Amino acid sequence: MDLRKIKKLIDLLEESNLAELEIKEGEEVVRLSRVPKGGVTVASAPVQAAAAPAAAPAATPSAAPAEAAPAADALPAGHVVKAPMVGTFYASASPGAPAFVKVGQQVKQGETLGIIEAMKMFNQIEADVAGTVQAILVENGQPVEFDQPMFVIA
Amino acid sequence: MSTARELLAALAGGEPVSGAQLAERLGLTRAAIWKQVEALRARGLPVESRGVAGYRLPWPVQPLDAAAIRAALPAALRRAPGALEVHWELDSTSSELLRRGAAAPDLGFVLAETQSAGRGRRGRGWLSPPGLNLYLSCLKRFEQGFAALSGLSLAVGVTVLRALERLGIAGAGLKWPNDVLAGEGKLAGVLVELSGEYQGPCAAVIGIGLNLRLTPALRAQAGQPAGDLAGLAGGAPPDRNRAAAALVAALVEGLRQFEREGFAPFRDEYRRHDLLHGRPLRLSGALGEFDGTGAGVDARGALQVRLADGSLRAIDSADVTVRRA
Repeated sequence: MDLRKIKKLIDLLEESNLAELEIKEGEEVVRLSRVPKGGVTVASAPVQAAAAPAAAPAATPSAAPAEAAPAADALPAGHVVKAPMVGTFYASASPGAPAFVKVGQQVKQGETLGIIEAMKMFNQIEADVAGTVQAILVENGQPVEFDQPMFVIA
Repeated sequence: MSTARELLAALAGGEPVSGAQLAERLGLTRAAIWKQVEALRARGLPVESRGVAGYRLPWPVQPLDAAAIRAALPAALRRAPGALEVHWELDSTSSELLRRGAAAPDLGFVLAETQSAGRGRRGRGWLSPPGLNLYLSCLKRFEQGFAALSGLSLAVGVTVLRALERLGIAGAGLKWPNDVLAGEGKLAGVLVELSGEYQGPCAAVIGIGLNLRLTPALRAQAGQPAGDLAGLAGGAPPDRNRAAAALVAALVEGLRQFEREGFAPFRDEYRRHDLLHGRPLRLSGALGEFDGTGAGVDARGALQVRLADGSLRAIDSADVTVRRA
C-alpha cells in the first residue's frame, strides 16, 4: 500500500477517538492501533496472516459505543456514512459475490455501499455523497450498532 | 397475452385438451404447442400427456386475474390498493417495485404468475412455478424513518397468518422472524427491503411467496422442508384469486395498523403463533454461535433467547435452528 495512503490513515485515526482501524485492499491489510498516549502503531501483513484475528479489532467500535459515537464527529477526512439501524452488515449482495465497494473506489451518489439486515429486513446502504471511498470501517458479517460509522467518503 | 399465459388458461379446467384444439385456439402449430407445454413443465407445472386426448393438468387451476382479486376484496377495501397488477412473468415482484421506486404508489401491489429470479434471503432463490403458488409484493410508504419500522417484518408474518384465517385455514405458525411454517415445512417466506431516508420518508417493499400447491418435484428442488396450503387444508388449496385477495386485504389492514400503532398490537398474536417459544435453539451469525431457549420476542421484535446462565439475550439478526434432542 502507498505510504501516502498509510500516512492519511494515520491522520484519520489520530484525529478520531477510534482505538484501532483496519483497512483491507486487495492482498494487503493494514491495521493501525493506538497506544495509550495517543500515538499510533502500524502493522502491515498479507491478508492470510491477518485473517484469524481480524474479527476482534474490527468489533471494537460496537464493543465501545461510548468511544465510537464521538469518533464519528471527529473523523475529518471525509463524509462519514453511519449505520441507520442495528443489524448485521453485509459487504456484498450474496455470499461469494464481490463486495459492492473497495477502499479507493470512486462512488456516485446513490450507489450501494453495503446492506444491513435485521429481522430479515434489508436496507441497502447508499452513498449520500459522490467521492472516493477512503475507509471501510465494518467487515462483512459483522454486527453494527445504530449510528456506527461504516464508510468514509471524500 | 403471452402464449404461455394463453396455454395455461386453455388447460386451467383440468380436463384433457387435444394438441389440435390447443393449436387452433392459440393459432400455433402442434409442434409449437408441444414446445410451449415443455416450457411450462420446465418451470415446474406438471402438464400431463394423455395420448390422443392431449394434455391436461392433474387438477384445475385458477389463472391470476386482477379484476377477480379486486372483486374478492371486502367492499370497504376494494379501492385501498394504490395499484393491483398481475403480470405473467417478472424477474421478481419485489425487484419490479424497487425499480419503480418513487413512481410506485403507496399500497401498490404487484403479482406475477411466475418469476424468473424469485429471491429469498441473501441471494437464495425462491421457486416460482406458474399456476400453483402466489408471488406478491407490496410497497408501503412510511413517514417516520427506519427506527419506527422495527418489528415490521414480524408484523407482516402475523399478517400472512391473518390472511390464512380469512381463508379458513388454521395450523400454521411463525419461526422468527417471519417464516410461516406448517409443521416442519415452509409455507410462506417474507422479505422486506427498505429504501429512502433514515429519519424521514421511506418505503418498505414487502415480498411474499405463499405455497398453495407443491409437486413432489418442487419439494425436492426446494432444498429445505416445504409445505403448502393444499396439505394444510386437507387436499384442495383455496382458489388462487381468493387467496391473493385475502393476502391483499390482510396487508392493507395490517400495514395501516402498523403505521398507526407500531408492533405492539401484533406482539400478542405473534406470541400465540411463536413456534420457537420454549424450544432449544442454536443461533449463528454475526454474533457467533451459541445455544439457548426461545423466550418470545421483545417490544421491538427482537428474538429473546434464554441462555444457560438464566439471562435473556435479545437477538436482532441470526440464523436460528431448533436443536434436536
